[in-house]
This record gives sequence, C-alpha cells and structure tokens, in this order.
Amino acid sequence: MAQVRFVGVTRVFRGMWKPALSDVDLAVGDGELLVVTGPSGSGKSTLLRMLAGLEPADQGRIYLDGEEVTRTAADKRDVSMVFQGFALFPHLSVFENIALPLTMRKTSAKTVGARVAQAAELCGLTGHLGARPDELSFELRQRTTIARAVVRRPKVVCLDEPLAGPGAPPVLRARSPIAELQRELGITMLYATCNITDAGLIADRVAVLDDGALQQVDAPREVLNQPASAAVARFFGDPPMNLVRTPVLDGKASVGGLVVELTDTQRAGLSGDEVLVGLRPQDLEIGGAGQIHAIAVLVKDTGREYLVHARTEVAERSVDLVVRHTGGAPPIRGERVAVGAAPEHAYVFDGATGLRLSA
Amino acid sequence: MTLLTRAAARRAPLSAPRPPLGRRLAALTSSGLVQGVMLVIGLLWLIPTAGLFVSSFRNADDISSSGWWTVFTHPAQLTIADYTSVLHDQSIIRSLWNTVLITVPATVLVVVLAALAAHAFAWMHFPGRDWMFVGVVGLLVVPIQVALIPVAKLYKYTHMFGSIGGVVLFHVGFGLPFAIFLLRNFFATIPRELLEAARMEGGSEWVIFRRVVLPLGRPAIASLAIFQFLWVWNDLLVALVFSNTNTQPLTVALQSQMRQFGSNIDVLAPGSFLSMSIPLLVFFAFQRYFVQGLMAGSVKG
Repeated sequence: MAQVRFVGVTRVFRGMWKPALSDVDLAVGDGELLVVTGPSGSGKSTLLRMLAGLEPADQGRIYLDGEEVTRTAADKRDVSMVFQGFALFPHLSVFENIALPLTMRKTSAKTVGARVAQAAELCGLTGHLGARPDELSFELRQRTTIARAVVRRPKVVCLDEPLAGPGAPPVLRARSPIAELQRELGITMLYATCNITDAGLIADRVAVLDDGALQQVDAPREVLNQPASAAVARFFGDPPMNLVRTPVLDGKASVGGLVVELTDTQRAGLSGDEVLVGLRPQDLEIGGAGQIHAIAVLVKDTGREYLVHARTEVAERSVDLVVRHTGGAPPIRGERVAVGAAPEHAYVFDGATGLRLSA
Repeated sequence: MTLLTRAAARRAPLSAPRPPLGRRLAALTSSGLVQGVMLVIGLLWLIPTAGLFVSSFRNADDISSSGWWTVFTHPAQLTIADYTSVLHDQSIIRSLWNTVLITVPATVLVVVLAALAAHAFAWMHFPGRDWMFVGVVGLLVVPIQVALIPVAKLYKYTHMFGSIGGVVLFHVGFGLPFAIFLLRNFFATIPRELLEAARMEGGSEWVIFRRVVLPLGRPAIASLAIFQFLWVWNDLLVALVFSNTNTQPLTVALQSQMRQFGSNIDVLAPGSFLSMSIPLLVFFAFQRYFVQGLMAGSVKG
C-alpha cells in the first residue's frame, strides 16, 4: 500500500507524432482504488505500464511512497501488473504461476508454499492449484493472474483491462471480487478499463484520459454530474450526454427553441464564439411544451425505458438528440416531437477547448 | 409467394446445387478406386528399396548370380553374413563413428547458437538489428558450391583440411541462416506480455530466455534439431570435399566402395540400411515434437 504520484509525465512512442501521454499530473492515495478510464487509445495502458516500469518516461517523474522511481528497474519497484492477456505461463501449473514472483527471487520452498496457499485462498483457487492454465475457465484464469499479482503483497497493483478478452463473463459478476480483494488487502490499485460501468461501481476515484491528456480526476458521481470537459461528458453516461455545437449570439446559445443564457463568468471563460451545449438524455423530455422541434428517427426499447433519437437542425447542421423517455407510450418513427429541457440543466462547454464553463 | 418466385420455382426443378469443383475433386481422390491406385503406385515405388533390403540378407555369390526375388522360392538364401561382415569391417565402423562425430556437434551447435541468436533478434533491441536479420536471411540464398573453394583454401591455410572439425564448422555455417530464421519467427509469436511478466519479477535476459522462451519454443527447436540432424547425417558433398580417409563419414565410405569395387551390393546394401536406420530412429523418437513443430505458431490463443 502506497501513494503514487505522477508529475508532468509524458511518453512519446517512436514513430508517432502525437504523445501517448502528455503532461499527466496525478496523485493516488494510499489504499485507493483508482479507475483509469477513457476511450481506446487514450493512454490508460501506457500510464499503468509506466508505473510498473515497462515503459520509460520521456518527461516527468513518478513517485512511489515519496521516493522517485522514474529510473528504477521494473523488478525493483514493488509494483505488480495484471496484464490484459493475463500472461499466464502455459507450461506451468497454477501453483507455479502464482509462485513465479517468489521463485524468481529465490525464496525458500516453505515460504513459497505458505504464501501461494494464502494467495490462492484469497482468490478462491484452492482446489485448482495443480491445473494448467488452458484447462481453466476465463474467470479462474483471471483469479490466477490476480493471485500472482498479490502473492508478494506489493505496494501497488496495476490491472490493465482485466475483464476484456474472449470468454469474459458478464461484467457484472466478475468485477466485484477484484474490488473486494482490494478492500480486504488495502492495496493501492490502479485499474484501467474502457467500461464506464466498471468505473462507476468500484472506484474510489476515477481518472479520465482522452488522447493522452488527463481530463478529470474525481469521485465517480462528480465525474458524471460535473464533467470537466466535453471529452469526459462524451465518454461518461449511459447513454452519453448530447453535445450540440452552437454559436453564441448576444450572450445566448440556442438549441432550437431552447435558449441557454450564459452567465458573466461563462462569457468571460469563452475562448471563441462557439459553445457545446450539453444535455443529458434523462434531462430531456418528449412533450407538448418542448422548445426543440424534432423528428423521431429511432426509438429503442431497452426494457427499462425508451431511448428516442430525435433529429433536429441547429445552426444549419443536423443533430440527433437522444432522449430518455420513461413516461408512457413512446413516439413512433417519423413522428414530429417536441423535446423540452430546463435551461438550468444544460451544461456549457467551450467550443474550442472543450472545457466546461461553470456558471 | 409472389408471382415471380412461383414462376422461378416452376422453371428450376428442386435439386441440390452442384458442389464446387474443389470439393468434387477431393471426393474423387478419397474414393476407394483412386486410393487403391495410389496404394499400388506407392508400393511399386518401394520395390527397388525393398529389393535392396532383401539383397542385404543374401551373400555375394547369390547376388551376382540371381535376382533378389528368388528369395521367395529359396528362403534358405537368407543370411546375416553381410551385416556381420560389415559390422566387423573396421573402416565402415570407423566411418559410422565419424558420422556421429560430425552430426551430433553440428546439430547441437546449430541449435544452441540459433536459439541464442533468434532470441536476440526477436526480443532484444540493439542498433542494426533488423538489417542484420535481413542479412542472415539473405545468406539462405547462398549455394554450398559457391563456398566450397574459398573455404577449402581457408582450411588448407589453417591446417583444418580433412579434419572432423572442419566438416562440422562448414555444416554449422550453412545451417545457421535457416535455423535462425525459423527460430526467430517462432520466438516472435510468444506473447510479449509473458516476457514482460517475467521481466517484472526480476528476470534478467538470460533467465527469461531459459524459463520463458526455451520452454515455449520447444516445438520449433525440436523440429530444427531433426531437420539439421537428418541433413548432416545424409550429407555427401561437404564430407567428400572436406574429409580424408580417416575422417570420412558413412556416406563417403559407401560411395567410395561403389567407386572401387563396382557392384559389391553385399557391402553397400547393409551399409545403406545401417546408415538409414539411425535417423529413422531419431525421427520416430522425436516425431511428437516434429508434428507439433509443423503447427508452430499457426494458432495462438
């Protein structure tokens, strides 16, 4: 268990003109479960690999428990990694796989046996120690790789998309053992995933990356309700927030008949003359008093509610708004609908930088 | 059914569509008749070898006077005298021993060196690595004949001409490009994360090689060992050029018998089968790994 701190960390891969990570400042508390999320290619794996020591930092520093480890070799950092593909040795048994960190460091056989038994029990593998990885199910293999990661009680455990891959069971079932284990052992954990449901349900805090830049680090609820940038808003939420690009005219931004008046602070923070108005599907309503006139182009029945895609025109561009409709019968395709929203529910993001303009 | 579909159904009678050409050919070749014909042809091809095998159990007079098929009517002809005389012939035994002395080091050296080199080419980073690998693969093209004279000169200069070591070195030199190519491509299919996992636990390059790459690379290494063993064991050209009467392997000894004495089948036949039996034994012993090796890297889960 330890604190982790990234200061100005940058990584550029050879041959790529854009950094995989640029100037990331991030602090992780002792015993915290931080979920690092973002769209594919945003740099989540790279961040974890840099902490583990598998990627060098081109710029910046990394601190573990106050000590700088930027140049320390991977095996001396006391960070363990659960890889995306599991990386289990197919020619070794489960026992030998879990024992690997210990046997590579010349630990006595007695200690190895005790530690492995302990780790196996924690991860629910006690009956499978003799099996080979290819004989096990996805879930057992996942547990083996986690047991291997914790057998030495490292300071930090990094998990790189542990639930992605073929044979993955429904996400709901598999992720909670990881969270339980983390809480029980109190190990600082960094968990990288593309799946936002994961993030919401197990994280102490969520760090959102987009295109190599850190967008926001906050409790899941905050990230959902107060997204720091359009990128975060676009990624979070199920379904994600509607973002409509519209020019600012006379201090007001309009989406159809919906007029959002910008406050002075918002106007001051504006860098250009366009904003992205964010409207959450659950804040929109299909009803007679709606300000936005649209045509329903798609109606999806999710079982819990209806998701209506309503097409309208804003600033001479066609825009599809996703509306969550719970009250009563949904509109049919092709029907004219009126979408209503309260202006105070709208989020305003700067059109150029994407940052949220807070009121 | 609409008007159109009804009309179409009336025109085309209901029958299964004809299978594609490939499938029809495959069905043809697996039919009993074709298989029978292939079996007969295969057996016909084996007849000379079978004849030689039978002749190896007949003495010299019988061989020169009648054909080997007479054995079926006069089984008393069969004798193991040929084999015993060959096994007592010092020069043949000597040459068999030379074959072993040449083949085993050549195989071991090639496998060891190629494995080390393949690991470096696949997983280590050093300047010029890719160009060097292209160079190694390019060497595959060089025919042996081109190197015979220059190497012969070199051996004369270093007094290695006619030595076992000279033959071994030549085989190692010509065996390495293919070996490195084969192993490097196989090693490259090992998932990177496996090596990283080992690296994170403090594995030095050597430890990673020994505990990750070698165990996982076993099928390819076994295939390579078999290929190399068979190639060197049966080689005639290199041995002819670079060995002398003391260091000649079995292939050269038998060939010189043929030159000197014309048709002494009673020595050649047992000698050939003696020479053939050992690689066959090796092949059957390692067959499991060989077949696995053929599938090497085809499906990686």
